Amino acid sequence: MGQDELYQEAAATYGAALDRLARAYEADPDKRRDLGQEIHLALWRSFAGWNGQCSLRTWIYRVAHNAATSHVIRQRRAKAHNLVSLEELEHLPDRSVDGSAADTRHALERLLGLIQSLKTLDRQVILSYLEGMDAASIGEITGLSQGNVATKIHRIKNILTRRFQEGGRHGE
Amino acid sequence: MENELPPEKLKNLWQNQSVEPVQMSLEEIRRRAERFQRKIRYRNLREDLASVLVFAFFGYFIWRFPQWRVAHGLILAGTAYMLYQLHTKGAAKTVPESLALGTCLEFHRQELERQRDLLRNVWKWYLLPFVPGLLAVVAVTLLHVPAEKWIRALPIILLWAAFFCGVWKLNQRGANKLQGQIDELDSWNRESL
Repeated sequence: MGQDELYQEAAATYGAALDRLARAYEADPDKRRDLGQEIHLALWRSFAGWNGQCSLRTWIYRVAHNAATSHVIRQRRAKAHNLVSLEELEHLPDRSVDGSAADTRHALERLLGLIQSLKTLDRQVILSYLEGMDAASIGEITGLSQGNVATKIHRIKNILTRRFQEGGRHGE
Repeated sequence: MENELPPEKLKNLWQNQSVEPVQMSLEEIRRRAERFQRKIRYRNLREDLASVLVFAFFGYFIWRFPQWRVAHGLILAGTAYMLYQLHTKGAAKTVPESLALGTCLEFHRQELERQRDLLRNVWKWYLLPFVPGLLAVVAVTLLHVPAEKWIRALPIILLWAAFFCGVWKLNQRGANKLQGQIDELDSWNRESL
């Protein structure tokens, strides 16, 4: 398959996932639209060098995460200190307890807020986890060992369980 | 709906949220790629024009005031060096085409490292090149005024020194912050080996 065909297949299969990824990296709607287009452009350009060295999915997510990381470094370098790691988040109290976590829209907003508050590497792991990837695939994309990914996923599950169940109880 | 959202349900919620995928035809993609290249070309052209203006400005002074020739020549050389460095290592570097060849960890580290080096070496490519020219300006000025009036040049020299120190310190602080982020990535990298 050529560059154009690969891009078309990627856009058709992963278009929605790429939009969710852009959403997780950029809160501002206009900048998010720009980031989405930037990711698609980066993807199309990257396929010029594609020769099957990894799976198509790994390739697509690497390009998307790396383009988004570049965007974050450019846009938010000054705010980088406000981001937290999964380890820190696990011990931070949940301050967004208004409303029920069971309310779909509210839960999604809180989830997005949580993802956007994470440091880049942890954001990549939680996003990949939410997209349904296993530890091996996440490791291949991020460069972390499977053991590290497993530890992070364990933390993610704890955080999500604690935060969203607690939030639900607040809304009762 | 249950009042709890365990991780598996959150996964479904995340994957099934309404999205607005980017819809770009191949023609649009190509057009944007060309526009992107054009933007880079314009940026380079702007930098080249700025260099020409600087050269013309100092060139005029070199020609017009022969006694300042050495000082202005050194400032000109310093500016040329600084512009060259900015041109080759500039912060507005384009996103490389080989984005997928490295893992996210490697890519992130490289980007942070590039920016850290640019800030850490600011004295080498942004400050130091101007020092010989500015010292020559001071020397020529002092040669043309009586020794008892040399003290008047002190505030200007101190102001320059303060400006240089301020720029250096700010950039070192920025570089240290980036180094912190690199160290954090390295700790994950080590654990992943």
